[in-house]
Amino acid sequence: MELVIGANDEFLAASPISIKSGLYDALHLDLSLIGYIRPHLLVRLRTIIDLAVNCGLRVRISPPVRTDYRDYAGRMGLFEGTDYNYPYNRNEPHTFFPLLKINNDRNQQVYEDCMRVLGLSNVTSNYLRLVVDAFVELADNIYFHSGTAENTGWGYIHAQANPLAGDIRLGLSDVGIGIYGSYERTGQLRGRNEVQVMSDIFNELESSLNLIPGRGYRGVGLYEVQNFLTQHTGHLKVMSGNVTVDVNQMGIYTVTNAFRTEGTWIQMRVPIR
Amino acid sequence: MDTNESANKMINIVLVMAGKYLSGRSIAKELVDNVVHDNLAAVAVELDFEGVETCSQSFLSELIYRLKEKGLKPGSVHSSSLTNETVAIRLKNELKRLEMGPSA
Repeated sequence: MELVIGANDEFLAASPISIKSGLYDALHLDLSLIGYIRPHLLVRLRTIIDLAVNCGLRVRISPPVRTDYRDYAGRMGLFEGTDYNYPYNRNEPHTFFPLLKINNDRNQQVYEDCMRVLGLSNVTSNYLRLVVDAFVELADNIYFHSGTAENTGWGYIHAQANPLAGDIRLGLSDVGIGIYGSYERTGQLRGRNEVQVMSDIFNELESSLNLIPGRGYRGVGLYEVQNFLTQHTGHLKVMSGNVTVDVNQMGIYTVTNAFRTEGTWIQMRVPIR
Repeated sequence: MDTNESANKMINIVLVMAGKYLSGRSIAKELVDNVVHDNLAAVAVELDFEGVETCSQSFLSELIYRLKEKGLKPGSVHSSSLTNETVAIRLKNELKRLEMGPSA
């Protein structure tokens, strides 16, 4: 039986549950009428394709009708492992940070590529360091928290700078246990529901791995990211479980969704400064 | 990893040996494990930032935590060639959080 999904946020958020269910032997990703291609969309699509391949599903793609969208996705390697043979070679355009799989926290290359690629957008070097720091903190979390055990997670990251629009966009996605799931795993829920946990993750020293003071701390990465976004009018959207969190300079806002996001799906937008 | 244990018992940790851009808790843990083999109760540590472009907060958090775990006393962490203001603030924050600053 074939699972058919289009490039709709709701379907892309929830579809990993169906892929993992064992009910399907094929996945059809219909991207033909896609309305846009941005980093957060590409990372989610690529994560879903990898998951489907890992689960033994054949992956069929209806590529975007718009050639610019198809070429962007193709050059980033979105179609690898599917039945669609992108007619050109995959390459790493110097204007985009590549669509990259994260399965460890050795992020030296991520840093170097980000500095090189996003540095072409006239962003100042100090500011760029802060952007990349935030990006890498989020990428570290994929590996550290999203697996069924600590340090076993995997997912994808991707970024592009758009000087004309004046912003840098970043996307991260995994299909792991999700943020609430990582707290459940470590017994750190402390009576909180999913909405409360998703709101608390940006607090200083808040972590699913909180240790007692003096023995070591976790929970500094997302706090740093939020500080950066607040200072520089950026926007972060985190979807995980039944909750979406929006973070901007005004605060942290949670919404309960009617659908469930499997794993964690993140998009971040920061202005070029 | 370059280390230099001198007569006044100062261990020098050359961070750039782990890369120009430092992130990830596992790298910080490895760095300390490679450099420090003894208890640090009677020594001081100098973190040499020469050549380091940036350090993530979680890297510094893990680094200080591991040094503390090895017995390093409060006030025994020093830094050199730390020109990146953001990283300096992060280091200061981490020393405070982990009660490893001079006045802790």
